[in-house]
Amino acid sequence: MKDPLQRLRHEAYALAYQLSGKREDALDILQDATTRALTHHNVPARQSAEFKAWFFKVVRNRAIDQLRKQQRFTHTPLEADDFKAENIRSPEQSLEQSQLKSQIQSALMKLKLEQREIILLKDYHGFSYAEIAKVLDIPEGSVMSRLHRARLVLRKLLTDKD
Amino acid sequence: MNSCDEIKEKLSGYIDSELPQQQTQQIAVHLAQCEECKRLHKELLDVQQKVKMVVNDQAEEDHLEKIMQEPAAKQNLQWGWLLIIISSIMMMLYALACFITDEEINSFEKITAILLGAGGILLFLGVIRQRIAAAKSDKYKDINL
Repeated sequence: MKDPLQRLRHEAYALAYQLSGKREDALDILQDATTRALTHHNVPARQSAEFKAWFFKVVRNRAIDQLRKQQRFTHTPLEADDFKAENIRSPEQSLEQSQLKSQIQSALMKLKLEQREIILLKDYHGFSYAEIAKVLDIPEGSVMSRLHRARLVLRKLLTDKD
Repeated sequence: MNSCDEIKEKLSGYIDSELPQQQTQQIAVHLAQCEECKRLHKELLDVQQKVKMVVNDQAEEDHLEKIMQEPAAKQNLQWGWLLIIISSIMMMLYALACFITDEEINSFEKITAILLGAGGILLFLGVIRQRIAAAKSDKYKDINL
């Protein structure tokens, strides 16, 4: 039976990558978080429901530390090295599809970090509002309004391109 | 809760099914009657779908990793490496034999060259053994990153 930590790694890598915009950084972030999960004394049991939220919280915090260290933690759009149409496209997809995906990805990267992370935590990682509150260390009551505002900004970015 | 502004603020909660049942019902009723809120609801759903569309590409990467781990291919690669290592050793031994039996090279040169080669091999073996020892005692070795 696969270790729960290993099962989570793909998803956690996805979050680290989306936040940092760079594959190498995402791997470093994942490495740090995994080490912490293995060595820290206050870790929730890996089989427990709390573990996933805890692990993602560590990954998210490490990503922010990484961005701060590189002085990339600003509210201006992130330059991500891999998010170009030619890198996203797979052969089965039409050009229009891959261009659309590229536009969406580019819009996501234009969001402020706190906007991007909450949208991803909900719509990609499928966390509940309660879990998102734990990952981001914010009151549960503010999750909905923060998420809503982020979606409105993303909507504007996407419709401005049309 | 009746005004459009109040409803709009709660639309994300509505599409994520995070609202209490009573509020969910109130919003559903309102959406059936209000074009403006209905439009925003549709746009938010659209944004949500688009995010899911992009991030689904992650599954492609997982698929790729599965391919890289494919057992038959792995076996081919292992055998390939083994043959390369064996043939490299054979070639080195052959070169050594040619070198030793070459009459144009004097004994001093032969001895110093062999000592140099032997020293290099011993260093290489030493590093290999260190790596093996480290790998065996690595408590994180089962974690695949």
